[in-house]
Amino acid sequence: MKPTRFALLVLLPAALLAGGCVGKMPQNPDEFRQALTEGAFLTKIDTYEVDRSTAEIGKTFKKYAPKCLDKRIETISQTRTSYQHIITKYTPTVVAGRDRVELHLQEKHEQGVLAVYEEPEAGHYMLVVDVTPVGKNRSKVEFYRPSMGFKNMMTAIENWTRGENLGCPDLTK
Amino acid sequence: MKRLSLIVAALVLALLAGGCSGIFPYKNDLDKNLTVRTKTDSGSFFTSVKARVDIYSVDDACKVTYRGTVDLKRPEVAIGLPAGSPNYLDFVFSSSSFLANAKGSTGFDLFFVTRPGHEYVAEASYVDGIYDVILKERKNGSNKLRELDFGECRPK
Repeated sequence: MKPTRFALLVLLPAALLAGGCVGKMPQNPDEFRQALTEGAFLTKIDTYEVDRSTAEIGKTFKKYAPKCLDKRIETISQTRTSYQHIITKYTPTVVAGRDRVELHLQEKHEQGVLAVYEEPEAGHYMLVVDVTPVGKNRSKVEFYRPSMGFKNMMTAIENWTRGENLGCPDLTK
Repeated sequence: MKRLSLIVAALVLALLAGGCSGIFPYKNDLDKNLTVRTKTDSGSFFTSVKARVDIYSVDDACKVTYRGTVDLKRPEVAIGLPAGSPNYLDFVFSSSSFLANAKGSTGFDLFFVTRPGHEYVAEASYVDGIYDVILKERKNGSNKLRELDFGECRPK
């Protein structure tokens, strides 16, 4: 059965806590990577190589991340027995160096989901992408991400690394 | 008499409802200098996607005034924007699912100045959950298109 968006929104931060076996939310990208490396529940690390230079991928991140991910998303779902109104702010950060490019995405629920543990100011870390060169025009991508849901977001970001079908993910889905 | 009262009440309600929605058609009576090419495909038989562009004028302080909306139902739509003026375009993709009774809308905005003697092409697409709008400029009569940035003014 496909999990609801609400379930995923609640489960992802909880999974990070459970995986790290600590009562503390990752407060920075390093702690987030560490939690996923230790096998945080409902997360995974995808590693693959692409025929693009790291600098080129950095340019794509810089072009698309602000316009596509710096968003406030409002979702309303209603059934006969429930009503959920969630406002979520996403904050992307691109760190582009000469030999390394990183994309971080934080998610903060401004309404509708309670943050039980202390989060960083811009919200909990949702994903981190690390890109490093493995040749002149070839790069290694390490994608620290949720293992379920957020299909459009994951597809769009993977497309940015591959340089194919570039565009923004519909974050309402 | 009673029937007439009902008709008048219904008309008043309809007018109020129309006014309350806040969306009205863009006048589009200026020389056409923007062509919007639209492609939408939800990727699912049970979901439909509609596209529209909300048009705003912008002042020096990046304050916007709504001028109307153009439905992007056709693959290509010509729009006339005031030449030499800053414009703010908000492209909106709305999807609705017949089975899940779910609706959502997303999109993004562009700020740019329409230069006299130039024409603009916006390629708006929403395909299977991935959308984009690319704005290009060319001199009248030229074939060379230049992609524009989406601007620094972000009033919304």
